[in-house]
Amino acid sequence: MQIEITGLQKCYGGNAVLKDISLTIENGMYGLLGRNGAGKTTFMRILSTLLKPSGGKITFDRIPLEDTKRIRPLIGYLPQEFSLYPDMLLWETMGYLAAMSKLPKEIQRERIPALLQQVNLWEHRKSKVRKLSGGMKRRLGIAQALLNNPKVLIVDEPTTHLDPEERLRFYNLLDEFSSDRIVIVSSHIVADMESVCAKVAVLDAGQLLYAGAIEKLAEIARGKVYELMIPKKELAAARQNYCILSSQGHLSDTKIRVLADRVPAVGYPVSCTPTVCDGYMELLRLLKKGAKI
Amino acid sequence: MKRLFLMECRKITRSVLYWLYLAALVVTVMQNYETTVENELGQTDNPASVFYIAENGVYAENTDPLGEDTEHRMMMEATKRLMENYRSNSYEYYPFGYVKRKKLSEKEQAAVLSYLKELTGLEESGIIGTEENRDAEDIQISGGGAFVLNPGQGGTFGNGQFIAEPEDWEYVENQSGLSQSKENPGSGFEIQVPFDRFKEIMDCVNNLIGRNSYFSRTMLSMYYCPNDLQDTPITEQQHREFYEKDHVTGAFARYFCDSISLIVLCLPAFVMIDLLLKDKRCRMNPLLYPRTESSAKIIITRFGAVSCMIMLPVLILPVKSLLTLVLYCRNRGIPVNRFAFAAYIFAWIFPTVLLIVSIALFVTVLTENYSAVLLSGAIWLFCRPSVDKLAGGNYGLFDLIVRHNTLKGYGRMMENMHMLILNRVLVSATALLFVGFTIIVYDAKRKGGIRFERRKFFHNHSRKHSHAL
Repeated sequence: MQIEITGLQKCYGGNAVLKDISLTIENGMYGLLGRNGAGKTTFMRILSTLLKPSGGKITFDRIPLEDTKRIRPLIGYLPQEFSLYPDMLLWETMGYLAAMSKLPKEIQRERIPALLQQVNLWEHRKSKVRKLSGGMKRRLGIAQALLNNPKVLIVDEPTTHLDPEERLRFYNLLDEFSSDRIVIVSSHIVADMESVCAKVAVLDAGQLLYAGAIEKLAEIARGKVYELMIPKKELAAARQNYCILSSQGHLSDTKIRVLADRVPAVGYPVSCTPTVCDGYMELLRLLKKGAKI
Repeated sequence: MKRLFLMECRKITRSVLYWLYLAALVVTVMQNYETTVENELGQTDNPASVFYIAENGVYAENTDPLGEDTEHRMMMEATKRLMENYRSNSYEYYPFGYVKRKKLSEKEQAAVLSYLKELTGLEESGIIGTEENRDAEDIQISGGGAFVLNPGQGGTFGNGQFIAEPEDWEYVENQSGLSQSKENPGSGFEIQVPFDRFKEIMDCVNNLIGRNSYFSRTMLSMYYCPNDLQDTPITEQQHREFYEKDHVTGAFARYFCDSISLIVLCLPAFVMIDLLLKDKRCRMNPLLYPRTESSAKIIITRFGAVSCMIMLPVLILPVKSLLTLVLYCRNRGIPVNRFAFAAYIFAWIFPTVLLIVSIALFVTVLTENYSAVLLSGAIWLFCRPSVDKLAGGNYGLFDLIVRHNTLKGYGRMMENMHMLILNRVLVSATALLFVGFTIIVYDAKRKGGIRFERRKFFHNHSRKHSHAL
């Protein structure tokens, strides 16, 4: 499966939410990284046929997105905001959504138990949806998105409101499902993407800043990441001169990690190996400076 | 599709509004319909009962609704009521089909007084004093007997309030003596004006009170003329229609449909609205929209599920009375139509349910808010047939419900059958049209073509929109 996106645009009135986005997505986990309001959800909703693009072209294995009859069976979608019918049993919910997906009864009988077991919810199958925790609901969300065995699984900000353990479990689950299909995951948490995605795209204000291998994103910041030790009182001045990535207090001194074009003149700078987060921050810094990306 | 249909039905049974609809339906049927069935079966020897079979084969004569007797009776009864209303300065009228009371100003009361003087030739003291001359009060019951409160019975409290205890009332089995007093109310006056002038005066009084007062043309003919809404002895034609055309159950089926008509004019819409807005409340739309099932099937399934769940209790509720009627008729060797209820329910109630549900479906899918509730309320208030259609037979092409608030009147229905058929076909076709429009709108929404939510107009898209639904 291959998704080809060429010159994608989306406008609401005169307001452009997505600007000329072109990229190719292939099997495996694909991360969509960006700040809140960057256009990630709009992008996901367009891919899942819930929104019409204002311009550009999207094809799924050469099938145009507009051909919803052929595209929808290929897609599984887990939105950022959903809550399901609270008074339905978990088992019943899956049955209802399976019926909506036109799954034959025989396939439903096999697939629903298999999916519920896969997401570890089999023993809760007779519980009402309202009794599920946030993490369990997310897992149920994934199970319902996989009902039609989609070639493309689109998951929008799946780990919001989840505790670290549930987050880890959830990403492992996604990784399991990504072996033979495209899994597109959006997030604004860089660490999440780094741990599961081989390829990422970075969006900001509707613009595509980067698309490619995740390790290459880190390379953008190579030679620009330094660790310094400065007195605490100089922290305010340092904030004005550098893009501070992190700071750690040590008695009267503070250890800071900064992005800088030149070697800093203070605090005994040590050049560091950049992380994906550093690369992402460097992208945003370059954008702020007005540099062409 | 069958599985989806059953699941939608199950969802509906979890709706509080559906249970409210059921409760309203049961209460209405018990209060209006079941009581009538019991009353009619309990007094089959009463000449006013539809079951009455005259031993000598002689039934009441047909009354000429345009005869002189009718005009005189109308003038006497209406003037008597106007006097009573004048004395208490309390006038009832039906602006939108439900009763309201009005108190007239001094100037308006003076106008009414002048009309009363003209009608009766009495002076003010005579008009006010007429109450003292009134005959015994009576409460007629549908069996033909009556409870009579003779002069001198009852008493007054210290505050002057009149009170009559149960023992003060006398039950009179044969109402012939009463009808005598009805024909000549003995009110101590005679009508002094010709019928045309009477009608003019009544028009003026109606204008003073408001739309559909008891003195409007419609109400005059409905309340003061002999008609099927009154407990008058049945005629031979009515007897024949009941036993030979309606086969007993037909008459009761019409009455049943009439008794629930105001319920089905509104409440089914709420069930539909609740089912659809549940998707929005539970943020299910982003999960449902990308599914492979076609928009047409989803909409038709939901529409069908609501319509069926609405119709199911309507079909079940008359079963008890049907069995009672069938047993009664079997014991007497009277042929009975066992399918009359099903036929009338499908012909009279079903098209209305389809239309009401389809309008709610269309508006809710389009707007994704509760505006369909307001619309349904407005339909209930403003689109109910006027009171002159209560007795049935007077069908309009655009009537949403069919009224027939009497066990008689088969002939009237048959005379206007062509209009009734046209009306029901039009109502059903409009319903299907709304379903068709809904499919188009829903499909466009699923593809992101239409968004008609408040936030589109009031919020900044750049951020909020991306998290919509």
